[in-house]
Amino acid sequence: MLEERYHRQTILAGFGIAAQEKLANARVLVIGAGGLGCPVLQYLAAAGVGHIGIADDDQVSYSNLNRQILYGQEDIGKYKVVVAASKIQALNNTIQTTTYQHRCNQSLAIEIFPEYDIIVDATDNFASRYLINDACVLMQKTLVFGAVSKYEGQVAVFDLSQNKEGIHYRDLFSDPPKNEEALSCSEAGVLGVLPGMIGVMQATEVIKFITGIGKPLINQMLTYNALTQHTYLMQLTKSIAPSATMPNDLASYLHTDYPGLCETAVNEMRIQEWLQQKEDLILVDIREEDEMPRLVSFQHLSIPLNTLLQHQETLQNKELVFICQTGVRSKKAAAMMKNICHNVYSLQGGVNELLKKEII
Amino acid sequence: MKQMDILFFGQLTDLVGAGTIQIENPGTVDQLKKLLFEKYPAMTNTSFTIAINNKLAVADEEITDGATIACMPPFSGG
Repeated sequence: MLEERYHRQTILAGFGIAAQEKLANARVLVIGAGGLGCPVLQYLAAAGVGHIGIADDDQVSYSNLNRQILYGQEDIGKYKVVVAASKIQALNNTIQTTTYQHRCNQSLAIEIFPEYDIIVDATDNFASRYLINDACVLMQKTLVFGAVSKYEGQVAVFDLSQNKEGIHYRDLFSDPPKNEEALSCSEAGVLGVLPGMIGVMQATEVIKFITGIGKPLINQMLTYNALTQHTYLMQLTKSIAPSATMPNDLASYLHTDYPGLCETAVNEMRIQEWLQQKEDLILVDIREEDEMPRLVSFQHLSIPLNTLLQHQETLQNKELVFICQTGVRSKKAAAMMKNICHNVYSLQGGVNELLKKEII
Repeated sequence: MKQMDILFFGQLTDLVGAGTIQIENPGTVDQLKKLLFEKYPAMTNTSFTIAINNKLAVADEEITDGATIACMPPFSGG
């Protein structure tokens, strides 16, 4: 039965039983069981990777279903690692899975990375990406990187297993960007098939690396655009400029504040303060147009967060106060506009707070 | 001066308002950055890396006429 399961790949010239055995003996850790992680997990399980680790702390929600194809409506509210492990076990019960129902932090990385040959970064934020990259550098692990932005995605392989001085993510982007430099899938949107494409490319790279077939994307980064089907391949080189925030050893790694490195301080304004000064400030509602209630009783501009950059000329050098539903996205908007505008604030608590105080 | 293509990726496309622009060869990567920052002030607050002819470039690298430049930001989504 095993022979039949893998028949279509073992008959490939250059693959064969030998490559199948390498897959069976491989241990791969997939961090993030979301848009990227789902296809990675499915294809690695189907291909017969012998041991797959899955780390994620999140639960399935409806907004995941347009792209996170391991999950169905009946899984809403369940932990992703639990559902993902049971789905891939149902697909292939000859492989082993280990689940970590945690957000990947430094102590988890130090504890579990040594048990794996390859680490797959399928996370969705800069703090996790730098945390994982640095652990791979310090513990000499091969990292298969993937990330998406609206209609585009990036894939790269950093092979640090043989060489601690090898090229890695910080040679491309030396220090963690601020969160506001890139919008997340929930803020900017993402075409469902896009993380599927990028996740499948990551799975392809994992299989190539383990089996030794073809040429893995080592020291290269592929960028893919789903709207044009264009790809752009960049050859990477070792950066000569040292990174200011890369820890030198595991002890300093443990004490690095990754989320902190990605945060920008913004001025938050309380509702009462705003009510006193509102004649001098332009109120900008950065919610989507279908988010209710609308701010009919206050003069304001409506500019959804994902179109904010297109309005930078209109907003330049103005005094602005951003509002969203809860006060989270408005902080991001304020951080984005901080250096372009005269004074920017985020309205604390957002529309929910206005409702609570019966101001609207 | 020869015109050259600059390709923008990810969120830089929104920020610049185009996927490709044409400019005259500014000379070096540092000078290119200076020019881009003047043209698009919001780029000063954005992380991105520059490649010349599909190869990651260094700061004082000279840009040859006819080269294709790419400005690549980091993506965070997953």
